[in-house]
Amino acid sequence: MAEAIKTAIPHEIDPREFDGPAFQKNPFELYQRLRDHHPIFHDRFHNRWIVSRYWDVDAVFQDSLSFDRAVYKPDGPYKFGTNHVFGPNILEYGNSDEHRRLRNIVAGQFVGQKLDDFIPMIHQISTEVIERFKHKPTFELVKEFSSQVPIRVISNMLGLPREDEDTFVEWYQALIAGLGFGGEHLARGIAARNEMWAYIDPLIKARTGKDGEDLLSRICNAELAGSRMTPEEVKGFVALLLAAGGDTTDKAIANMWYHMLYTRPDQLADVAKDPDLWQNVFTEMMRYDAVVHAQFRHTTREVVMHDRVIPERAGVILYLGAGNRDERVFKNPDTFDIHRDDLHMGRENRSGRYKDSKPGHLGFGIGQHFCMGYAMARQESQIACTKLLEALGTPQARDAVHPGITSPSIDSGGFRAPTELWFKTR
Amino acid sequence: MNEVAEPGVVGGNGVAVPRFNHGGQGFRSYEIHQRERVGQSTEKINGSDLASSDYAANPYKYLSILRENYPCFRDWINNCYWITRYDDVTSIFSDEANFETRSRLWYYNLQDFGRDLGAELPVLWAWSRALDAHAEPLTEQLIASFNKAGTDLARDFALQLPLRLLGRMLEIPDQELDAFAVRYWRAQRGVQWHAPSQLAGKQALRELVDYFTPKLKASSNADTSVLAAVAGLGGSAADLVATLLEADHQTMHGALANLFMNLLMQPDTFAQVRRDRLALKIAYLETLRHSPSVITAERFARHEVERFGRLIPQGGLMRISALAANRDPRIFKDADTFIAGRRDICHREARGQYRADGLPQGITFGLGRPTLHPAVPEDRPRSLYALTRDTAVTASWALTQALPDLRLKAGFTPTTRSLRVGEALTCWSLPVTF
Repeated sequence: MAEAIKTAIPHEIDPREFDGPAFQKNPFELYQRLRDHHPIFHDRFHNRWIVSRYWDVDAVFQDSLSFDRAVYKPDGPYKFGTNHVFGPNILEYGNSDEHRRLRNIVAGQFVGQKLDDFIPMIHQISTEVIERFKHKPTFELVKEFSSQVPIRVISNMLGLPREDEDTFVEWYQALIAGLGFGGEHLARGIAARNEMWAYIDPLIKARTGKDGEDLLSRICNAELAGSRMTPEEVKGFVALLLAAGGDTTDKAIANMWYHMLYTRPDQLADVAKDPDLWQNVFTEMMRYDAVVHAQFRHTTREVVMHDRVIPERAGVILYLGAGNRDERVFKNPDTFDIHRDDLHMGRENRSGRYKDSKPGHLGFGIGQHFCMGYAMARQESQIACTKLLEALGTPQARDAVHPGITSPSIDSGGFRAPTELWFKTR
Repeated sequence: MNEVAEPGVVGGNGVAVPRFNHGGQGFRSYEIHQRERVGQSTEKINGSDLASSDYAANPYKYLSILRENYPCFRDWINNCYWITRYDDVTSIFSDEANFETRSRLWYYNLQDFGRDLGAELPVLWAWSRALDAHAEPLTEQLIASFNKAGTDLARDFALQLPLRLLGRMLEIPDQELDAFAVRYWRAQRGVQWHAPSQLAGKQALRELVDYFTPKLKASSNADTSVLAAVAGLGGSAADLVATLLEADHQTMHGALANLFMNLLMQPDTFAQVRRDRLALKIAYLETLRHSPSVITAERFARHEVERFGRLIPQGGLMRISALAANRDPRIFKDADTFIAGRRDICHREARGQYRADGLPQGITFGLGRPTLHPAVPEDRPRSLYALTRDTAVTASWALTQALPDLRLKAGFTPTTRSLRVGEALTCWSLPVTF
């Protein structure tokens, strides 16, 4: 059906294309039509407005007075977090003072010296995980490495018992699936969250009011202007950390390796010579085909963009994946190139503006809801990839052809990544 | 508002939920979230089912799952709430304070295109006189054109009649009627989600304005001419087109097609209504209940509002299904059965509220909102709902009397379907012999 429409009117968009397997596999052709012919697309089928050009996405991120993250008003009767699979967490609060309060309490834990304190541990865990499969002739990266390292890093940061790490992996996978639209996934996600809360509750009580270097103790006791997180907020934040912090980094590592093995194997040699280039691999991966492709906002007032009037309280979807391939901003945007000179390759920041005057990728968002774990994700991915490359010497893909990166079904949450990535070690 | 935390409450699913006292409304807030969570944890249906081709072919299957299990379903994929129970549906239709109806021009993003003059008395009078004057003669003309070798009532009668009536009231010559009909149908379909149809619809609106501009200047003074009434009000061609867009012809088309589908499939009932015009009128009303052509209507929450155990956000889209509500077994006995002489449905026109005489009324929003005016007003025309009903009954009566041996073509089983998800659920083919 969608094919027939394209034949009739080449640039027109059938909104059902967004739900189809072709879009999950390769959204970029549709992104191109959006950017070129429908910079503001009113998708009546899904009752939402779509923004796809780089500077439009940037503008929406920057304009937190007109675009709110929350569906409900911050000063209304809605009790935030009660219906979210993570429980009360800063993702749901939108642009409210409550969001600022929670964010300010925890944001400092993931940058600077506090992040540096955890770096030896990230090295250690990466080495331990690699030891498990290093001797095998072949191994599968997603199952045996990328899904193992981040969750173990986070549970270690939190100071959780190491013998329970496998259980955390199960919980976070159920939590992430619960972010999707399928009711059954949500039910399983909530069940996993409840189990995790029951597990973590005594730990929170034990660590509140006591000094400790682990992240859980720091969060329980972090105080800003006399304000602390409540135990429920701590639990919600831990769920967020396990799921969002774990899964995104897991997928980022898998995507980086996918591009090095299949998209630009020629540039893997450069990285082998200079492991610092993993930074560039990370940045270019976040631009070319990032883990997260979309963010939602709701208008707080009528907004005019490209001569279209978006009404107040309308749902708006920002396709970061489309903005990152905008040829108005990046040369040859459909080429993966870790040496590209028109992209800010260094560490990201909240403003999205850099001293080198180059545009950054949109993968972490910009502005009020800029990803708190940006430095952590970058650092962890770089260390994990460096360690694996060191251990393997000259890694090779087992299969000559790979089905590529894809999104999971719309019913289950989760992010873009290869489902499997096989290596041969000898 | 000061929130006072109370001891935690353990919900039905074993989850401890903090309870807050919202100035005396603590219990209500607690209820909202408990029900919301339960409502979303469903394995019986999800949003993609409600946008599928299977749903377009048979929406009843999916809407009954919603009605029986999730009366206020949060559809995350389509970003809306589905309301499917009779009492819930009627409560939203009559709640203009909390739920806003948006014009069809809004869906086109053409708010400044023209004024809808459909509520102006001169237009209503012209509309009313035209329908009364032309319904019967036009039906006779259509019957005279039926071909014994192959007549399809859905195509040759149900579809034709509303368009020809429009032709008369708009002073369109017969030879130009087909071109008008194509443009008019395009304009109506463009209101839906389908992007190419939206483009075609916009183009059709422009073409209709061009078509009516000279006609408006040369309109007659006939009191059955809507064209003349609009000209008399100083309206432009765009105003006329905006008025026509809000009116539409699909509901009368669907009602007539579905009425004859139901009657032809029940020969005993058909025999009875041939003899009794009142019985035919009641069969028409039962058709609106049993097989309405409009599946859902859309309303938007004007502000955050707590309904059906949920907090609906401002701007939230409510998909309100009369089709599901009209089959609600809480309200109607044997709700899935077409019973022309049904006694648990109100046979009067809905006025202001739906439960006239304490009996439920099939929801007929596609034919106009319930009027606040008396059923037979002295100083104004009948409501559009009543006019459409009377016209449909007049034409159907003329048809049944003229063709006493009308029956379905042997071996053919008619059915209703939507041409696209969300569009009218109409019987598109009804081959007959007479």
